[in-house]
Amino acid sequence: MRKNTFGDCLIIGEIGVIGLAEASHLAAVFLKLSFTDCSGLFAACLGVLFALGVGVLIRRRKHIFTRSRSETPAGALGEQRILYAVFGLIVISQLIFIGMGNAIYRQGDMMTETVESFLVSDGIYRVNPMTGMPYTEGMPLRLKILCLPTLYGSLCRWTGIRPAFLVQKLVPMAVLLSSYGAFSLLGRALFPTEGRKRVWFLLGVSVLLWAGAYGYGMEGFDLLCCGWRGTAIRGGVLLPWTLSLCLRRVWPGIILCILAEACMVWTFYGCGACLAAAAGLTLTLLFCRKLSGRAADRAPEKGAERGGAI
Amino acid sequence: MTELFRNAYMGWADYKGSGKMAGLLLIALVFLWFTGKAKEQRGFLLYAAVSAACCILPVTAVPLMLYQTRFYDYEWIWTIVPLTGAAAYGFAVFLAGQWERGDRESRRRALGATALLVLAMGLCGSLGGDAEGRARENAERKEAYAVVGMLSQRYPGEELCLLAPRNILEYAREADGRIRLVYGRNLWDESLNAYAYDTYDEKALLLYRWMDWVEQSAGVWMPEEDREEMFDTLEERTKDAAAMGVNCFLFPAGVPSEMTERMESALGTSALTLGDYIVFTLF
Repeated sequence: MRKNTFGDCLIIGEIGVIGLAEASHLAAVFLKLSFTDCSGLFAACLGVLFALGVGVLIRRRKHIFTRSRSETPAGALGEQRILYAVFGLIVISQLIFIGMGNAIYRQGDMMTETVESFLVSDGIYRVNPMTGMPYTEGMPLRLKILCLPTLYGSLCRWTGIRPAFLVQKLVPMAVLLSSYGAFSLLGRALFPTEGRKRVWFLLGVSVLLWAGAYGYGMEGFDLLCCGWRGTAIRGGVLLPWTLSLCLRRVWPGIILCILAEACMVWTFYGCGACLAAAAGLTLTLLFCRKLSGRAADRAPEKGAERGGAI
Repeated sequence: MTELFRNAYMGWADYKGSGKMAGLLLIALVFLWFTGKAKEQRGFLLYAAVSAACCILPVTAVPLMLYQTRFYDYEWIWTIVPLTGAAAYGFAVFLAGQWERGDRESRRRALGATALLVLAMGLCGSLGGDAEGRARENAERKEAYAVVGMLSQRYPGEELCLLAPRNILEYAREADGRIRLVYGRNLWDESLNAYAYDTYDEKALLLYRWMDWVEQSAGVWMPEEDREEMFDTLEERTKDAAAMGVNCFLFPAGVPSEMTERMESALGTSALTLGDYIVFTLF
């Protein structure tokens, strides 16, 4: 598999957006900027990122957009098309499910109220999102520095979309699609030469997300019922991509994932699930390689012994 | 530490009790190992197995719970397990194998296997979950949005500080961020208190309890002693609320007429009807 595909570039772009939102958010928190200034700063940074991204894509287009050699026999293409169509229908059904908004889970979460309070008070955490009154004791810094409310609030300010609609419907739809992008990359890493199995893999993921929509903490539940949360983005996008990067041994992307998680989710001093998963999988891969190396070393020895006996 | 161990043990019991996705992962891993189909991605599958084992065993689950900070519940340690990825890998290997042969008989068998597997995966969840609870919640949300919309329309430009039944306050700030409250959703959803050091004073707690009685008084029945205490403290609670900044009182329309009259005299204003509610305003 190529080192960086278009899918990788899209996820890198998303992480770039999260990083810029974090930078603007921190600037506003520590310099006490108004939310209007914060979203303006974020817009300017985004413009630069977009220009850079387009530049990189144009410059490396041959490398990024070149289609990998098809390893699928012509007869299997029809089957793959049918599987992709079924997969597409499942994804559409999930998008409709999110759009209907019948299973929004907001217990323990105050994202919409926070975005509303940013927009109304034109400041970051100037009022308690739960009441709209000024804070009496304040809030923990570890939560104050997380950037998603600024990202969603800025999108609301630029587009005029109501926070509840953007946060509870549009963002989860975008996160779900990104998640399939990340799982597609994981599928490519798991089945580098078998396109047919990759489609089955994606189908399996889509069925599992539906099945997992039953309970708090499951990936399906996070993506379908509360896809705006940092934990949903981590579980649905960052972690599958981290695993695919580990399997492909593309290390810089993993650092981006760790940083993005620290910007969105309260972690143990930045050491979140992405770091743990990357470290765990890397160690396991090293262990397996060492094991297979020993087995390979032993094989010629055994062969030599047998040869000697003959 | 004992509490953490208990949480880890009980957490796993809850996790496997509420759904069978972890079981599905274990079945996928067993299938891949015992059919020799795990060779190509041995590292990935070994990692999935080891990380799942670490989440199941309390001895290893506790350090993971400490690592993820105590802010999160037990189920979040499963984040590090590639549950969906590994189970989908097993799904892909199994079904791609089933559909490999092109003759009609094999395809018929593969179709049956696919249907059975998808059904089994569906049964690992709860097939729609608590639909009744969700429908009730959606109806409440719809009503709250409608009431808040009516308030904003009737009093444009006013800075409303609202005291209303719990199902309205639940969505009030989400529906319109300009509305202020003397107590919010974090009073009954305690997990939200992790987001701020602020706490509610005694008066806010008494007001919350009193509003609960007001809601009950509009219903069919409420305990007599609660009813008495509600009426005995009506003026005091109203005064407290006004002192805390409330300028808009929203009660269910079915509250006793004695309450409406005493509220009108306590606030020096008359009640207005707003859908299924009555409103007292101080502006």
